Amino acid sequence: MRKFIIRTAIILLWVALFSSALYWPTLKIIHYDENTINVFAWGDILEPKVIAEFEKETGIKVNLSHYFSNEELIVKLKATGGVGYDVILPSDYAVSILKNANLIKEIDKSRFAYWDAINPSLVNLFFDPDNQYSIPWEWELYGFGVDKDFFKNRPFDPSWKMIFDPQTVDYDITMVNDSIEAVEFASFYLYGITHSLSDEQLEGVKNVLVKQRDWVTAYANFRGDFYLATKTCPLIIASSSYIWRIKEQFDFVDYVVPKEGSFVSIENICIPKATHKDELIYRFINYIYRPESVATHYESFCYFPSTLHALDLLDLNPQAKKYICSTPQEFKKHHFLQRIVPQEKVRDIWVDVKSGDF
Amino acid sequence: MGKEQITADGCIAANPALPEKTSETGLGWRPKSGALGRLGNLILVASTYLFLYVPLIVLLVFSFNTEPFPSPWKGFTWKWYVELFHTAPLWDSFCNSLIVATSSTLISLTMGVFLIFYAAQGGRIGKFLNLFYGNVIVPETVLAVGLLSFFSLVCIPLGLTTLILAHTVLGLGLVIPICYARFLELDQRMTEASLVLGATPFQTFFKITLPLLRPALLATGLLIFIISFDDFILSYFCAGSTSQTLSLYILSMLRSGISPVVNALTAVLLILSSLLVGIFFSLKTRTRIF
Amino acid sequence: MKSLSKSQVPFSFGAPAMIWQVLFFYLPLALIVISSFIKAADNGLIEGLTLDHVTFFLRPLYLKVICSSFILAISNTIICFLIAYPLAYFIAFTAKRFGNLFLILVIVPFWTNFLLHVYAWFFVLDKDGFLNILLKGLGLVQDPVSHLNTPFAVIIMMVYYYLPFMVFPLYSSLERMDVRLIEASRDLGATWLQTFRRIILPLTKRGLKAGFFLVYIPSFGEFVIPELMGGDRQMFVGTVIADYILGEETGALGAAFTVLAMVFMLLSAVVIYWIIERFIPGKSHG
Repeated sequence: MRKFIIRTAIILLWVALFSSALYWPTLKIIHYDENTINVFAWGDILEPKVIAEFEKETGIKVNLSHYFSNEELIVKLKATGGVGYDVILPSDYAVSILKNANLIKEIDKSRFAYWDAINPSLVNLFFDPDNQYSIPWEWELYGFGVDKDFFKNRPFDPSWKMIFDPQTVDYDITMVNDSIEAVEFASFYLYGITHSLSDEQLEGVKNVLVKQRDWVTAYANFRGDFYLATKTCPLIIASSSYIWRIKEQFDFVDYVVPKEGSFVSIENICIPKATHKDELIYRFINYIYRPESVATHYESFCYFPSTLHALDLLDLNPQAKKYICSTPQEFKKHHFLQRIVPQEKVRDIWVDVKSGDF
Repeated sequence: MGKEQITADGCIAANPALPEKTSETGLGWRPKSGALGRLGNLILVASTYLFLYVPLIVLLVFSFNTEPFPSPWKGFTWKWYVELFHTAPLWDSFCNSLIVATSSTLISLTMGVFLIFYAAQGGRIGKFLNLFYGNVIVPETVLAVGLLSFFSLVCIPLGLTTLILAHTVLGLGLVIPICYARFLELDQRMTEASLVLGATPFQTFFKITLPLLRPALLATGLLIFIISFDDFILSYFCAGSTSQTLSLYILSMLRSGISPVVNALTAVLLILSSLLVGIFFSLKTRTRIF
Repeated sequence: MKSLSKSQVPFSFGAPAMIWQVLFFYLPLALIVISSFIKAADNGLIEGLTLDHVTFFLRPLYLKVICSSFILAISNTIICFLIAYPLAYFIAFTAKRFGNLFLILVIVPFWTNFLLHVYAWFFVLDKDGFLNILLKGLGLVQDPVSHLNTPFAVIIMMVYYYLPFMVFPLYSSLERMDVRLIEASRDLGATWLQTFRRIILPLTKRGLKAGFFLVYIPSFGEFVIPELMGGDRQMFVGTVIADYILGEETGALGAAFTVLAMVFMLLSAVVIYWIIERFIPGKSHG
């Protein structure tokens, strides 16, 4: 009996030791590391050079880590209650999800210096009326990257048919690798804008996507531009930044938007509720919104910035300039990716689509 | 009872019934096979090595190309290497990976040694040992998912410590099966002799048993280090904001933009690993791992 | 009392490893299993137990996914075995004095990061890549096509990554084998094939089994290589798990599928293990 007690005591001692080692970082985050901020963002949205300059100028250390989908961001934030992250960059619909889950805090507009420079088309939208919780950072428009040489002597009608209609498509394409995007694009192609889909309609969407797989070389969210640049696929569907990046490098690449309309995605700066480093965070935000920083970001990543004050610093393609300066009326023509189908069903369809023959 | 031979590393020679087999079979002792068979084998082996090395060599060559992939060869330049050394986030993640790998290796080796010590003192862990074989059966994805749920349940923030913890679990799953099995193979008479001659159990363990286990421990340690350094799935699920590892960094580079900086990184890692492995093998430790 | 507590000192050494394993390996696994049967309301409160999550996946679609993973894993294991055995044999016997060097040559690529290997293969398999340059140069191919995003690319990368795991156990077993047994068998008139089947294979059974486990089981849960090299056109067990787990409403479903896939994988592993035992004669002792 005594042996049992002693052994239990030893075990408890070790468990206590392990627990303290594991919970120590929580203390560290809360009480130490005062001059560091943790930024959690997409892989290709913040330019390391700009961050390095920020660190040099202010002495604040920035830890940059990446996620590859909004879902991942939401799950990780929920798992830790937001502790450990100081700045995040969710997409539009993710902002409303995080807001409802009580994970982000209100933006103090008085501490942000560049409200006037932000394109009015991008504020006061469905996911955050009055922009209480988010500041738009950049936006992108889904479109087709096309190989002009391939389509030179072929009928070319920019429409969603070019990726979904078996009679139009006789070439290889690269498709987006996100189940929600794919389902919404297919649904838009079949039924236009809807707010929910019946089971029958879902079946239709599924069939379109399954059929499409035959001419999809790869499902690539992030590397679509690679397939276009190597001329493996004459048409890719991707968000604008990827296509614009290689448009600069290769002159046979062109960017077209389907005539029926397309989808837009806005990435926003948000501040998790659990952080207390507001002072440092606002300095960071104000730094990256400076015109020079915005210009550098555009040159590296080619997404459309949310601010209009950097236009003089850039040598802009007129088409790009037109997009960046979109008026609210022009912007309203684009659609947002909304949650029109429950997640299980979306994922289910996606598994179905990708379970054909090898 | 056949003649028992004690070989140089303190183990009982296998197959005591057969006459002693020298560890260096020296000249001539190889299975005879037809010349055709030998040639076939050689061709197979050569192509296997080619298969292993050609991609890396191609990558190396293109790390000096002036234009990024997919451009063909345009010219020679060192600029990607220069950029590599100036990319701070890359070195941060490299350091993180190093810290995690070293810590988890050391912790799992230490805990393994302690467990063996307990066994050496007569602790009965026979049945309990089978628990450690679970690691082989469970894919890493499952473990990563489980750990993520566990961490969110007990509200532990994700970070370097959780990553080290996860990798140590992997490491333990290797240390115990390999090193304990090796421990069992050791000739007990060495330890018995030491105890009879008056050494305490502690002294016996640290002066006799441990040195005999050293090759296995070293080999296992290196194995855990590589697996941890290379690991990607555990980091993907369990990494926090401050614990970006090299694998994750490379993944985000692969996914977002391909730059010859990655090629340069490969070259550097290749050189580093050749050095490390060369050092290890030059220590002339013959290790029996399985 | 004092001697009792002193005698427990070794236990205090042995305890951490065991605690660690239970706490951080078995507990998380148990969590997965439990959460796959729990029904949670929208606000996170637990309502009760349910089999819904599991039955969601008992459909041909998901069994197909599991089958794909199974085919991938088994073909990877077999191909690795076919390539690794001659290699291990070569290192163990033919390259006697330089054996260590050849072993090093197998490990060195492995020490650079796995993702870099994937990237390296892009250079080789792409339309303007090394392989096509070679084929064009040899006149075998007129119009080069990209070899990426094909099952071929996926298998190549899988073998590339898992080969050392098969080579090392086989090498270990072969090295311990008494070479004179082969010599004796040949002297007694057996052909090469007979010698292999009756002498070499049974004696290396232990290495075979170790290699099998080290390759088959991780291959089953593999999803990164098919994604990066196969264009993500096919769903595997790992992809489904990652997809469902990292979605906010589908976490429990992800756990349920993990359990299901694990059960299937273990069953298949047991069956194959039994096949190895049954059809390769001899005891497997080390």
